[in-house]
Amino acid sequence: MNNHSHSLKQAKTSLRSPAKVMDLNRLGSFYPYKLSFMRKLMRKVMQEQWNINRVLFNLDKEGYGEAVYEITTPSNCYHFVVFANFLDSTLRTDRVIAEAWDMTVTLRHGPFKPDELETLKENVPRQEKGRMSAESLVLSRANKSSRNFEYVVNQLSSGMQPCIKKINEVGYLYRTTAVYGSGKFGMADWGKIKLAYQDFKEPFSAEMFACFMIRQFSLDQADHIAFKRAPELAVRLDDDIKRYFGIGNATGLGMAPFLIKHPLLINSWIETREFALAQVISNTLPNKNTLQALNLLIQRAIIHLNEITTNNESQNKINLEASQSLGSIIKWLSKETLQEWDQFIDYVTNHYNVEAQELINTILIEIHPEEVLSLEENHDIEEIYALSPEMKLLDLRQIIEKQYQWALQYDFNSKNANAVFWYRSEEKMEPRLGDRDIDQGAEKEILIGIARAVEQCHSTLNKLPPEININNVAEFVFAYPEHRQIIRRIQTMAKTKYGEIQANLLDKDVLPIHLLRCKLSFFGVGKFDPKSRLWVRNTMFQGAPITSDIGSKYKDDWIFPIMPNNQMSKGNEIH
Amino acid sequence: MKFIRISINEFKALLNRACESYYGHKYDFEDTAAIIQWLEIHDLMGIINFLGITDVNPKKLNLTPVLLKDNKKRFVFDNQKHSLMHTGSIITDMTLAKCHQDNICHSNINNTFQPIVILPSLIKCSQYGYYAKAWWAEPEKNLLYLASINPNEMYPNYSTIKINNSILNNKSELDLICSKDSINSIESYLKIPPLSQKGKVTREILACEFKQRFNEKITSGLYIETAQYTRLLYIADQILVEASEQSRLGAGE
Repeated sequence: MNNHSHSLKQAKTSLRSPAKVMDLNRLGSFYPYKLSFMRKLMRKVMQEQWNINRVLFNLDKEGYGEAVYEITTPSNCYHFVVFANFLDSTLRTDRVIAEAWDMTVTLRHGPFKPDELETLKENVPRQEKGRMSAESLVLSRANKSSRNFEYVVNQLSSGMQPCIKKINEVGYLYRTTAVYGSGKFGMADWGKIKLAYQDFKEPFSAEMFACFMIRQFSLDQADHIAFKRAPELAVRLDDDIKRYFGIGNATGLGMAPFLIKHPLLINSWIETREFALAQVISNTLPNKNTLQALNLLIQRAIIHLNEITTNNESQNKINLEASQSLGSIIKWLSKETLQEWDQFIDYVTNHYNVEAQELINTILIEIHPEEVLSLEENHDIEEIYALSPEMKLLDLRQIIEKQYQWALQYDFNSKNANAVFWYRSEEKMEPRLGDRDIDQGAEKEILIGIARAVEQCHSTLNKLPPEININNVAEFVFAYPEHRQIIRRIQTMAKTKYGEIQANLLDKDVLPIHLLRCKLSFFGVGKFDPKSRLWVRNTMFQGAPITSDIGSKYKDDWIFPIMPNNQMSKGNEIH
Repeated sequence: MKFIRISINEFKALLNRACESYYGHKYDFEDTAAIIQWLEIHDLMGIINFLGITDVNPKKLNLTPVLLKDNKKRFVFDNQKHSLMHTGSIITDMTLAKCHQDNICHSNINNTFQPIVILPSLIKCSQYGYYAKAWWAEPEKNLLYLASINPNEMYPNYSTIKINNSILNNKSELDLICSKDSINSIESYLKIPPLSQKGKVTREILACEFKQRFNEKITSGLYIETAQYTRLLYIADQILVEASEQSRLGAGE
């Protein structure tokens, strides 16, 4: 448990049950919220007024070359290095197995040293095949949006702003396809980052910052190319439009095993979100101001949902239903006199689906910053899954039957419950999903089927021969070492509330995309555009400040970004 | 000799894959990987020890030790000529559980090798709030190895002592004691005079030095001999599945 527990004892409203929250369908309905990592990062950058300067911008007229940005925070200095290269459009792919990209980048500690550029140039563009130094925090790459980039540059070089509606179809100029940190390829270990680079001591904040900088470079590069093409005619991209550009991202199965392998971390993320919600419901009452804020934000969310463009029919249906639900909720709110938030939550829960419920929860949290922002620094967890060998078998069995009851409901002898397996491909170790009846490699499957492992352990416990005198966990794992790993997990997670995703990930109809969306929502990612049940495109930092905003007053209000009402882009529609 | 520098996280991921590949899911491969990682980070030849096992037993074997004696406050295990690398944890589990029940447990582990892998297990005892000591000998070199830790500490103290061979006779291959109260001197268990008078410390690693070694690796990463790294990578890669057009569909293509 993290340190919210004490305060919760004083709260009137308890946390929601794990059975409710950890349902895969609900996790797949989470939206980015006030404490999502990008939101936290932007508050930090803006409040501490990080100084971000371009110290090298050596691009040719096509925008190819190198750029370096130096970032000075109150306590440290970093630099962000970009290599922009020509990429044949036939090689442009979102897949992790790609070998070349439009842009490759790294975020490093310390001031920029020009004599290091050559070494970086030899390694950064090679991505997984290169080696990085222990002063590097992030390695990433991105590809141009084939729909947007050339259009925007053409508009700017013709002296016109791009059409907002056209931009809205995609929402970004570049799309990242992998963002590596935490010691990958020789970079700084997470343990080092936490201690030595405290600006990024929150999980994934260095990775998020690199994405923010990729977005900034994408905007700078577009301006640069436009001016090189037509120095007399070109205009700079309007700042309102720049803010509306996010940075795209394509996320596949690689993210899914992370959620299963780090249940303590996931517990912390979700418990913080649930605690924020419980605290709002318990400690505040609806009043004129909050009801007005609620109304405005619901209206913005409706516009946001209506503006999302995706070819995925299922996602379109989800967005449409959510938007319609929010419309009905506004009507209901206009007729009711709310005394307590519980009353509102009950109404939404009883009348609308999980998507609408989680939207409303997100909005309630958003409009109560005073209740929520104090929870900002609670995401660092030391992940130790230690065995408690002295535990009596009876106690272990009780824990399983109480806290893992969800895992015992599946029949793993049935074909459907054990139909798929997860494995790592030899191609860049990419996680993939296989069908046991069709695909090779089931004998090398990743241990991701927590429900099955729990069920097998429980079954062994139940079938212990009476003549074997086994009393405690130590004796049990001595006799059955194959269960030691899952028992460590069960015992550890028994001390927490959330963390275990209550679903059978080996089921024939499993929807990994829910796992991806859950994790992405904690990152702060929005505008989900599923490309299949296995991968999703999405948008980061849309509506967030741009570097030139640093130093101005910060309004932490870019949730549910909507198209800016930009006069300069009007009349530039494509017909 | 060529070296490759890798981060701790990278090393951990590599070892997890290598151990999953070598031991399979029948054993707690993540725990074994963590032991190898601890030894290597603290300059105690984790990789060499692991590769040594794969040389001796290239195939996956039944690695379970046999419990020879189970008395009050005491266990005797036969480790079946296996390394302690993959059995040390379950033996420590047994010792901890008995200590919990009887306040102290003294385990003898016979018929084993690579006893140094018990060092990270001592930390587990300490994290339980227990005292722990372990010792073993190399009679042919007249060396006695001692490790001890107090409750709630991050690192043990570890030393090697030159000693008269005659006092090592009949000694089990590894002794592990875990206790809720402070533990008597190792000399009293060995029934020998105090070592400070008779013995000569040939090597000593204090808890603060272990910590320093860890900090160095966190800051700069680990330098691993390229040949060893390549062998580890080869073992680890055995868990990867061959790619095909069909398999690419499993990534959403």
